[in-house]
Amino acid sequence: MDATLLKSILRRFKIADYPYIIENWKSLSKEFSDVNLKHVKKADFVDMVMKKFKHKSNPALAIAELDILYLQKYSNRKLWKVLTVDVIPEGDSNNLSTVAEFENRLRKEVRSYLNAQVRCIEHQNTYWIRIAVKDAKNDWALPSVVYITHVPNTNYLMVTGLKATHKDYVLQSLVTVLNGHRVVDSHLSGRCLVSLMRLVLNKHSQGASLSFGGSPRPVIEETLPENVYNENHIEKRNRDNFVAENYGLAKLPRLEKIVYKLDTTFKGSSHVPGMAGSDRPFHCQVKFEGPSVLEGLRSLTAAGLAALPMKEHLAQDRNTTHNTDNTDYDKSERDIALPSGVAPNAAFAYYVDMFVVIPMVWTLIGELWQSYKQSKTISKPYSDIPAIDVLDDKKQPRRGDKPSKLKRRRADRRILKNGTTKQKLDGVDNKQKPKSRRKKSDTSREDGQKSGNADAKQTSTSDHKDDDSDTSKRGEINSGSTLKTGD
Amino acid sequence: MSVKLKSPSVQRTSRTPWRSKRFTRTPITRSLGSVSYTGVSTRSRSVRNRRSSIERTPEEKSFNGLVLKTWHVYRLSPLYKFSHETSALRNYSRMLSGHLEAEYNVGMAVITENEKANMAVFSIVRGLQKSGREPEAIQIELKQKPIRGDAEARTVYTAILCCVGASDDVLEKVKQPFVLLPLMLSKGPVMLNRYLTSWLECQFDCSVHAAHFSPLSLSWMVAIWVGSEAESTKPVMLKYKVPSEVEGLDHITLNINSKDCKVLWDCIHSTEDKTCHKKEVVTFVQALEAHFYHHFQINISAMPLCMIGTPIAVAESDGKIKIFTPEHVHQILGLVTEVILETSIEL
Repeated sequence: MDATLLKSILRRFKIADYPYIIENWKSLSKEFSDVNLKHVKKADFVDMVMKKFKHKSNPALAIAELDILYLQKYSNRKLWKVLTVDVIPEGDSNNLSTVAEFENRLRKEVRSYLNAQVRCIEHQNTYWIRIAVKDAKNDWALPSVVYITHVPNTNYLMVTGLKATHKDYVLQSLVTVLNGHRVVDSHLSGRCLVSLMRLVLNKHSQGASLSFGGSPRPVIEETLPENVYNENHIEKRNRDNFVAENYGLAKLPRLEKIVYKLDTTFKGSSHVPGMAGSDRPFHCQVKFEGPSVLEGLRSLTAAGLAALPMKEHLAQDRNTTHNTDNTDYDKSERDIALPSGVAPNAAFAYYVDMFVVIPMVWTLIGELWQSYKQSKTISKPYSDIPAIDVLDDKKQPRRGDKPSKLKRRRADRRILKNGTTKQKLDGVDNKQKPKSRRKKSDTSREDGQKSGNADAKQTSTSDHKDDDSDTSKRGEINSGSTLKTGD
Repeated sequence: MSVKLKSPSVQRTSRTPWRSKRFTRTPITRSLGSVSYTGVSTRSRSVRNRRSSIERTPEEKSFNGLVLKTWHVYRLSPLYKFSHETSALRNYSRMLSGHLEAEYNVGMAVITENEKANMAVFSIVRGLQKSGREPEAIQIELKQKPIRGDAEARTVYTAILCCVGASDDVLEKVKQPFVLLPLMLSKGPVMLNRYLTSWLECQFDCSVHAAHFSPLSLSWMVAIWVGSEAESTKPVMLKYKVPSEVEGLDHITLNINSKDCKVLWDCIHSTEDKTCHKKEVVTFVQALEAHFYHHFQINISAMPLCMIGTPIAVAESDGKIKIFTPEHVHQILGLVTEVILETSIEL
């Protein structure tokens, strides 16, 4: 059975992969030192490996390693599902710091439920786990294999090949080893493992901030012939700017499918007046399919098939199975089933990220205003400050007024009327200024940086929380957008 | 020097030298099938539905071979000197078997042993006609007889030639010795289909073309079929193909609850009305697209409809249909025949 399994795995590889096998297959690396791969045929290579394999003491280990090598190379041939483990936050004495410890612990747990072989390999800071479950009835049958990828110190598992009969046992073992209390389906699946990891682990650096982190998209410039003129080039430019600001310039992660479940009332009543007053939910499911759906949705906007501004709830973490016209959802609802194919908070964070961009802009404006205030109070020497008029809100210069000389003359006249001298005017003590204004300027001078940081902190936590306190800001800044909490 | 061919029966306009109407226009109204069949008992439809759970009429039983299979739809021009008599059908079976053998001997096509057929059987399918003027449907089965043993021959390929619900105008135009069987449903390997179509073209001087359903035809289908009563909970599906200039996204699919869709259709079209107007169909589809637009701001109406699904049938733009219930076979095939006759060139 081992020999047949090994042959089947070897035949899956292409001839061009043989150097990769020789370099990375640790179980048989010594035996391969003298191998010449020039003009080698598949059958010859398989026979050679089988001969060297016969003398192996631990064949199961070698098979597992080869299988994981194949999966690392061709992970896009499997459909991966993302699961989230709710880890108990209290400190645990069982700190599984190495792969070997993790493997031993997992093997104990799995073997208590199933007759299975467990193998873990660490590759590029990721644990690749292979659990081969043997069928109790037929010893000669090939085992059903479950592959799991786990990034240490995170809550996420990418699983493929999990059958219903083994599902509970395998997941229970993993939950015990990771010190969690339950496993939740993240409703995220796809064929590109790297994209799934990127979506799940880099939730808060999606969208516009992808320009600074991810791999850049090749910019293709249209070259039109001389006698062809694009009449809508301004609209096209606006659309391209919108896309670049909201989706970023980098390549988006690959997802094959995004599904939305809508339970809202019918919204096409302009065409069908008979459905206008109906409160009955119109159950509908929308599926976007393609090799890279996120790129496709971005191209839809760029191609003009999607109206601007694009509906932000495409990226919002909206639980549409509970969606009604008045959506005022709590944080707890965000964790429930979301558009499958998109990770929970990543759904909100990455796609069209107004919620990151707007608070950043708001803090920037705040800081600019603070610095402007500082510059007004500090930059000029005291002797140059016309003491009363500029600082007095009531006497603001009107349009058409002459510059400060006129103000000074008026001030002189007032003071002379009151019996004070000019000298006093020049050396006006700042203490006579309104107290509230002085305090503000003092605090801004001393604690300018701290207040700015506090603002930034507040906005950053609001980004993470995505709470409704930001909605008012959204409403103010994006008056042109269709973002409404009641929608 | 140009030679002008004049036919006295054809009207010519002053503008063009050829016929004024080369293609028929798509109709503005269609009847929703007040069905009366010959060869089927004339019970009312509600009575028949009640009885269907207990016992089926023989004609509905025979439709089990049509149901739950994906058929490729072809359109045929009228067949010259096709006879429905038993002796003629036996003759055709013999000729077709010989033709298949000859094609295998030529050996041009790569065909697996499982897909080889060495026997052809022509038979009549009763009950598919809507009126007595229409010719009876013909079923052609290509079977593989085992070389050894007395096992039964295995059917490898099936084709059904029928005419369901053709209008009287069209039936009057097709006179003897021509026989109108415009709809061909085909299921099986591609090479066998090619052999059959080449033989039909040679034998009966007809032309066989794969049918394509336009987005408007698919809209007609989804609107009419949504209105029919069905017990199934299958959703109503509208699948749109995204233009190729949009990279990464291929299809957008809308799956709507069939009951909600029926409520919408009843708001647009009254149940008492036996004819369906084009405006109602367009309104129905536009309403669904508006509902989608409200949520996603995507102009799905700019994309072509490539597949529709209802609780009773599924149809694709490249000419595939699948029927789920035997009770609605006439309604479905009738609409498909109408659509095919509209797309063919006027005789």
